[in-house]
Amino acid sequence: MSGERRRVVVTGIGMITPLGADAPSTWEALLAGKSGIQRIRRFDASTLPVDFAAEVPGLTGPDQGAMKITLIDRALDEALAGAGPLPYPGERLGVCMGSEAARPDLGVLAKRVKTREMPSRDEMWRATPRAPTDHVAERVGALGPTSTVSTACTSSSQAIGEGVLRIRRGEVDAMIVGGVDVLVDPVMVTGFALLGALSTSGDDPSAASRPFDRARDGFVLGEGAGVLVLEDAELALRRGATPLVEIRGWGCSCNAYRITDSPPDGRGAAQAMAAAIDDAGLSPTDIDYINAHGTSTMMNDSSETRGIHTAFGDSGGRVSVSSTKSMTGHLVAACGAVEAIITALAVRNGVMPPTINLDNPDPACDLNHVANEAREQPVRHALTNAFGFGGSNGSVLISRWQEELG
Amino acid sequence: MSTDRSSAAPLRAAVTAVGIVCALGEDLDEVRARIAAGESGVRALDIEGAPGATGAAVEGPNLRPWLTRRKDARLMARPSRLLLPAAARALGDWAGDREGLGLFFGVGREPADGGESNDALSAMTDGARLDMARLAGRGRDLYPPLLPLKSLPNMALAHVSIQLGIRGPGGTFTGGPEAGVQALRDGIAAVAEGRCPAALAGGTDAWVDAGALRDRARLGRSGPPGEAAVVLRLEPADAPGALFILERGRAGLDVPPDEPEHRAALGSCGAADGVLSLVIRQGDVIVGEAAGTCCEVRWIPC
Repeated sequence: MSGERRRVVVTGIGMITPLGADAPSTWEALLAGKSGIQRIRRFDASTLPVDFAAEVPGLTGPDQGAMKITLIDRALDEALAGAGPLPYPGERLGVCMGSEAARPDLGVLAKRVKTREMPSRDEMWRATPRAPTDHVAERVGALGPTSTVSTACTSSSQAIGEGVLRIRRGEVDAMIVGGVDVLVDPVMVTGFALLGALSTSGDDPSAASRPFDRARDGFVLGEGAGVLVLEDAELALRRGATPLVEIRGWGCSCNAYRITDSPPDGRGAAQAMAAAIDDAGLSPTDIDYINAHGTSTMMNDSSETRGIHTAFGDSGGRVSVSSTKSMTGHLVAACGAVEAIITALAVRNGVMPPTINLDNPDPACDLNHVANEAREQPVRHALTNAFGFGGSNGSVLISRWQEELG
Repeated sequence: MSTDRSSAAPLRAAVTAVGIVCALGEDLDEVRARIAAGESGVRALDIEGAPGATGAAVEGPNLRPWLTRRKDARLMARPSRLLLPAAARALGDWAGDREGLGLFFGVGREPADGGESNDALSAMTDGARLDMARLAGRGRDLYPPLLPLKSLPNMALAHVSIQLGIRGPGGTFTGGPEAGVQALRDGIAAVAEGRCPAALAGGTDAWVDAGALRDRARLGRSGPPGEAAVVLRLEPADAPGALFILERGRAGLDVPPDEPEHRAALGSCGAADGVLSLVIRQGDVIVGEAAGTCCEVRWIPC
């Protein structure tokens, strides 16, 4: 399907994660195998079923919605600075963000039930999933199509896919895409713990997220934001920008299985990966690295492994795989964007960040793991996976930028 | 910078079936006839704490014919309950492979219904203060583990995928009245570009519970609230049996929206409004809110 279609490049990246306030510091921490997971500091979690998470250090705000705007602002600043001035008229610039609704603080909610006090209109707007999109559009002066994708953990992966498709179709010349989430609050920690989704291995929080390890017992909630500037490659080159990487493929699918579980055969995941590879006009043997969804739950990691083997066939055991959620925790609606940026850096720098805490790989996760230490190796093409509650799957294929298609 | 790389041919898809669930019924021809006859689905709502409230609420809908397991209904918030029958009817007797069928939906407000959160809230708090010990104790027992998931916007799509066995590409857009039309535009593009052989696309939203009424009052929204789901089955533009053809039009923040006429009869149905307007009007629509993107879909008769 690649024919004469427009090519899409990334010219700016920005992220704020539990590991760092920008892309370079996050990348450095990832290569060093550092964990951003600690005891929760924002509130007293000592009586909760889980008392650790991957918080963005120092993040504060009157409500979750405000914190999301703070995060997306920082990631956007960095991405725009890296991309340089965008010369496109507003109507040729679009925005798509992955985001969920912000949840009100439970104490505030309780007070409001008692006093019948209503939230301010600003707070109501900030709580909507679309608030980060509207905010970014206003900041960059976008007058083209804007939209918000809310597909749980796949949200910002889908936002990237949307951006790529809009540029390919010629609807816009550039897209600001990404995602944000803030989930470390008492209700979410308790709710996900009761679902049995969270790790309870709190003796050493930094070792709690251990994707693909035999001893994995759940994911660790995190928060953060990632923003990418996507441009039509020809126009980006014409304005003198340096493409960081190319986004060459996008695939998505539904599991049609269960709300909380992944199918054991990884069928939906395989379908999304295969669609991305096909969309790029490549074959599985061209892929050197997969930044896995790798949540550290028993079910996801084995299901994703089976999906990789199904999509990759004979080369399923060759392709290098790591899950950076071992260090960042699970950033939910933001994970697709943040992990796409990490994958872009892996492609650009020829270094794959590791899965830390992978001391005893589960035989059910029989992959070529980048275990515990970063691996230097040229990466021509890489996939980054995101799979969401409810069974939505997204896979973005990121390639080294070359003027001639390889 | 001058950008002279505007899109080539317009993207089009045929609509081969329509599923609708709204206050005036679950059959499009009947709903259109009732609106044309001046009927309205707006009536007094029986909602605790909202005396005198009116809105266009849907009776039911009956989910049993579409559920693979009856207990799954407990996991569905109101927009999911409205969407499933609409999607099932739009799917109808489609004979293609559901493995590749696309699902694109716009969802607005996704409340957790049944008062579950209120019970949990009272158990987790001491007066107006969050009591962490109660949250970890009684609150924990009362807090339905699936509540956070039930309230996620993409659960409406997830339930359709699970109950109808559909595995193709898809996505959930959130926002105002444009969200359903954004999903429809994505579905049209996915079919026209060959990313899926067919797709179900549309919108679902519910604004007739106590929380929604409070939110509308706070936002200064006028007119009656409503709830609805509308789903179109999209196939390639040359598919046999097309009811009408849809074409993606403009989208952007500088595109002026028009006013859906159905709101007097069906209330404001949030993310379903745009698609509802399209199938009732049977003409072009441009849908959106002042602060957000407005999307256009053009209606072409067969």
